[in-house]
Amino acid sequence: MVWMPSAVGYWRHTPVNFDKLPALAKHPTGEWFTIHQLEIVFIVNKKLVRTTPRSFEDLLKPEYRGNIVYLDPRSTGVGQVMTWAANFAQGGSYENLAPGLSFIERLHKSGNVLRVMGTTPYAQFVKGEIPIWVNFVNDGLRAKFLDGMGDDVDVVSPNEGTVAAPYTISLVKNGPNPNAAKLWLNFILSDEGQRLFAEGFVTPSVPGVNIPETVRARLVTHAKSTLLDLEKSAAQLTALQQGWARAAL
Amino acid sequence: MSAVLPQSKLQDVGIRVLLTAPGMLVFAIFLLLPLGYVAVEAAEGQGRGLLLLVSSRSFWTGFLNSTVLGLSAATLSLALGLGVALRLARMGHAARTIWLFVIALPLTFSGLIVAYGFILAFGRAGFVTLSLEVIAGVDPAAFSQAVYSPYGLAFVYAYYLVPRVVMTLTPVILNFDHSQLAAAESLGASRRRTLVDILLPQLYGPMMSAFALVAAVAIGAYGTALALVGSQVNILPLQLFTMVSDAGADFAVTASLGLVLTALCSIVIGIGEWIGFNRAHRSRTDE
Repeated sequence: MVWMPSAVGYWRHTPVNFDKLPALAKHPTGEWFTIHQLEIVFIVNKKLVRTTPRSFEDLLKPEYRGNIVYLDPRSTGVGQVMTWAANFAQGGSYENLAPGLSFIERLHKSGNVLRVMGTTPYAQFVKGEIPIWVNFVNDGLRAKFLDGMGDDVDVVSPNEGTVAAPYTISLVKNGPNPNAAKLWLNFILSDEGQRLFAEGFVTPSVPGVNIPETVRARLVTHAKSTLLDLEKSAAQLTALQQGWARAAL
Repeated sequence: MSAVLPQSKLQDVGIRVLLTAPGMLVFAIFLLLPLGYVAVEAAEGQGRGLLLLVSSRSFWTGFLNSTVLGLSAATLSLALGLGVALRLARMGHAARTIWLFVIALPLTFSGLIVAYGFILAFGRAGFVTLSLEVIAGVDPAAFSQAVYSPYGLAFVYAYYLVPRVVMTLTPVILNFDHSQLAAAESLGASRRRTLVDILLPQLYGPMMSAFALVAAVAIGAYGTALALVGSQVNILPLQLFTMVSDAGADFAVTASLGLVLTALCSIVIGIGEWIGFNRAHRSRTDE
C-alpha cells in the first residue's frame, strides 16, 4: 500500500557455515539462508490417547475418532507444511497434490478431526483439551520438557517420513548497521548459535553441527526428513489452499 | 422574517458544532478514513474482488452461518436479558446498582479471554466437565464437543451479549409507568394479558434496538470464535481472518469482504434503530 517503503531488498551475505547448508536451505549467493528448521510431528497427550499413532496412515484408524487437531493451511504455514508431509507420505509430489488432498478428505470423512485451528492452540494442548496435535516439533518438546507434561506427552515423527519447514533470514538492504547485522548472522549459524536453537527445541539447520549429547538427546529422531522446497511449494500455494478447502470443509 | 439569524440562534448553532466536533473527528479518523482506504483497495480492478467474492460458494455459506449465528445468539440474549431487566427494575436502588455492576463486568473482557474462560470451565479438561464426569458419569469428550461447536459459540456469545441487552432495557423498564398495569388489572385483565398488551408493546422499540445491536456484535465478532471453534467453522469474520493472516494474498477480495461485513452489521443496526425510532415516534403521536 501507499505507505510501504519502496526500496526493499537484500544485501548478499555468506555467513559462517554457509557452505555446509544444503542447496535447498539457501540462496546460491546468500540473499537468504536457513537458520533453523521445524518438522511436522504428532504431539500426543497420552492421558487422552491409548495407543500413540506412528504414521499418517494410523491417523485414519477409527480409534482416533474426534481426536485430531491441526492448523488451517489457509492461514498458517504449519498447516501448509503438514499438507505437504501428508502428500509425500501418500506418494504425492510437488507437481501432484492429489494423494495428499485425498488423505485430508478421508481424514475429515472418518470423523477423526476434532478441530482445525486458525492460531496455535498451545495453551489448549497443555490444558488437556487436545488428544492428538499434528504440528511443528518444538511445541511438543516445550510441552514435554518445559511445561511439565513430561512422560504424559509423546512427540512422534511419522514412519513415512516428515517434512521440515526452513526458517530463513536475510540481510535487509540499507539497514543502518550492516556490520552488526553480519556479526549476528554469523553468530546464529555458528556452532554456539545452533546449539542455542537446539536448546530451545528448534532443529539446527547446519547438518552435523557440533551439539552436546545432552541437548541432542532431547530432540526427535526422524525416519526421514525432507526440507521443503520454498520455490516449488510457493508455486503450488493457491492450489494447495483451495484444494485443502474443497477436501476438508 | 429576517435574513440574518438572531444572535442567540447563531450562538446556539456554534455551540452545537463545537460540542459535536470531537465526536465527528473520532468518527472520521477511526471509521470513515480506514473505510475509505479499504474501499479504494476493494475497487482495484473495477470490482474484480467483489465479483470473485460473491461468486465463491464458501462466501455464501459463511454469510448464511453468520446470519444464523447472529440471529440465534441475539434471540437467546434478548430472552435472557429481558427477564433479567424486568427483575432488576423491581429491585431497590442499592441492590440494583450492585447487580448492574456485576452484570456489566463481562463487557470489559475481550473475546479471547471469554473463550478461554469457557474452555477452562466447559472444555475437555474443564472444571465443570470433569465435575460432571465424577457426579453424573458424563463423557468429557462428548460434552466438550458441545462448547467447541457453533451452538457452544452462540452460548458463549450470549455471555457478553446479555449485559448489553440488560443495559439497554433496564432504564426503559424503570421509566415505565406501572400504574398502567395496575389500572388494567383492576379492570379485570389477567397478569399475562397486562404484560402482553401493555408492557411489551411499549418495550418493543428498545427491544428491537437491543436485538439489532447484539446481533451485529455477534455477526462481526471474531476473537472468541477463533480461540474456541477454530477456523473450520465458516463464518464471515473468520473468513476475513484467514484472508488477512500469514497466508492471505488477494487484497481486493479481502477488502471487499471487509466492506460486505461492515455493511451487513450496519444494516442490521440500522433496521433495529429504524423500527425502534418508528415505534417510539408513533406511540408519542398516538397520545
